[in-house]
Amino acid sequence: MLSFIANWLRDLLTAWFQAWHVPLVFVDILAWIVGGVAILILVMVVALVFIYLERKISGYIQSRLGPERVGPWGIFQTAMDALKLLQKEDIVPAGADKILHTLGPIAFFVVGLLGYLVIPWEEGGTIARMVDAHVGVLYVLAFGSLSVIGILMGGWGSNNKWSLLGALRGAAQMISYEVPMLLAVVCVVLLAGSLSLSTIVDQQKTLGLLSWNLWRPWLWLPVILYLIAATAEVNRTPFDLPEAESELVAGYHTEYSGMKFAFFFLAEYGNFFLVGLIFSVLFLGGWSSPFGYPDPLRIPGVIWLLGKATVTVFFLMWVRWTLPRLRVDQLMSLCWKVLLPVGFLSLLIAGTAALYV
Amino acid sequence: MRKRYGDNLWDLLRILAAGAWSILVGLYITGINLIRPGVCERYPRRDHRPDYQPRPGYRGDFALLSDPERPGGLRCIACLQCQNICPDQCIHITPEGKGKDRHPVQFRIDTGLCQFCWLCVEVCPVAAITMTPDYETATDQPQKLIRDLDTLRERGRNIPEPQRVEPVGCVADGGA
Repeated sequence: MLSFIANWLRDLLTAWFQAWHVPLVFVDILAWIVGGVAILILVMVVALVFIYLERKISGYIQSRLGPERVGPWGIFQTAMDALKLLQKEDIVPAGADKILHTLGPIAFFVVGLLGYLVIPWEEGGTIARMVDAHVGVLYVLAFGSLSVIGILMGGWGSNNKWSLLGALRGAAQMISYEVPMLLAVVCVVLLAGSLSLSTIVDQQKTLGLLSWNLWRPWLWLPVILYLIAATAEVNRTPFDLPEAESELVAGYHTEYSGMKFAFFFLAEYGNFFLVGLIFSVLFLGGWSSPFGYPDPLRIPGVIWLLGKATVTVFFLMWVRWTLPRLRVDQLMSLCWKVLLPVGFLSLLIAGTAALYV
Repeated sequence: MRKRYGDNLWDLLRILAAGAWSILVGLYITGINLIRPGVCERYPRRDHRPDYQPRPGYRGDFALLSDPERPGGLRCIACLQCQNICPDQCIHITPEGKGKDRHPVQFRIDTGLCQFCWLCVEVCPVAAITMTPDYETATDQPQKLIRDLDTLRERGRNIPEPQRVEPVGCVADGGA
């Protein structure tokens, strides 16, 4: 569906531009702009929906009701919250580094968006063919770790000890957990023989549900590793030390208000959804239907992908409202003393499987 | 010496297994709570359950039970025990008469001060004072929170016996 629309648009534009004697480069530029805006809107909508979902789920888990006043079942609650944040005064603390303070949320948000470019939404590839995704895995992981920079900018630029402590914790945590996450992903890459996310999906589509990577026993360790490391990577409980309310007020976004805070918040949920997307691409067969290939239900691949990612996200929310927060030393010892050796072990297992299975 | 992570491989594995099991148990508990129907009342929105009544033992507004054979038409013997035990000192009684004819001519309860601790109900030797399940007592004028003898008598007119159910908290009763 998506590639059909994209191709149709592209053909239309090409015909027009040829008729008006405009260089055809502009078709590509226009396509990038359209794709970028589409991703922006997607992330915004996804963030709003997931913030609502998170509040509802947390409510039900804690025997509450969650938001239910604005609109039926409270579905407009997050939209109203976003509108409220838009109207709020933008407060910059005295002595803050104004440039870094402003750049922090922007960097965080933009970097969060960039990961979406290489996701194979359906057969035929990424949105508007923006990125030739031969090294999609590498790209996603690289930009995932870049979001540390936004956090550090915000934490340092705020001139606040809690912000700085939160940012430092964030940097330490995200860089540490990058390693086991990489090891988990490398196991999948090893079996797929490719760094391209589309290829990884292509190899899981033949038998539908049965050919998912999730059902391969030698990939079970990487599944667990990835889920743990990704939770830490997007700073969610039990690894939400950078924004631990009871210790650091709000961590690196303590001093933010109004739209800058909203950017941090939206980007957090954007990153969170990206984790769900990557998990479904790596282990749940991405855009392919669970009922076989080609899809007997004829549902567009993008819907399958969004559904799978939502299920993953739901699971991580469930975990979040179950587990308490770790201590800083526990966080580090878990990463370096447990996850890293397990990562090497799973790499060994996956390598053996790749050779002999 | 205190055990630490990774002292030896067997301990590490045991710790990991115990941790994983505890996580699964936690997920099970939160999952059950997630799908269990809620116990919340959407209070001001009555469309949920229009016939809602609080549970037995709910401590709402006050009432004085009536007894037509006594002077004043009330069970109350104006012994002042409730006035004396009240920790907020929100009960003020003016008694009249001697012996069996003793009855209150004025009975004021300032529910704005009251903490609904149930002590006055417990202490009453003739079970004359009680609390009704009426929970909608909010008002914008503080003097409207003061209950006088007529109000209390009117409220208690249709109550045959005071509720003697031990008050239940939500922790022991309805909670998880």
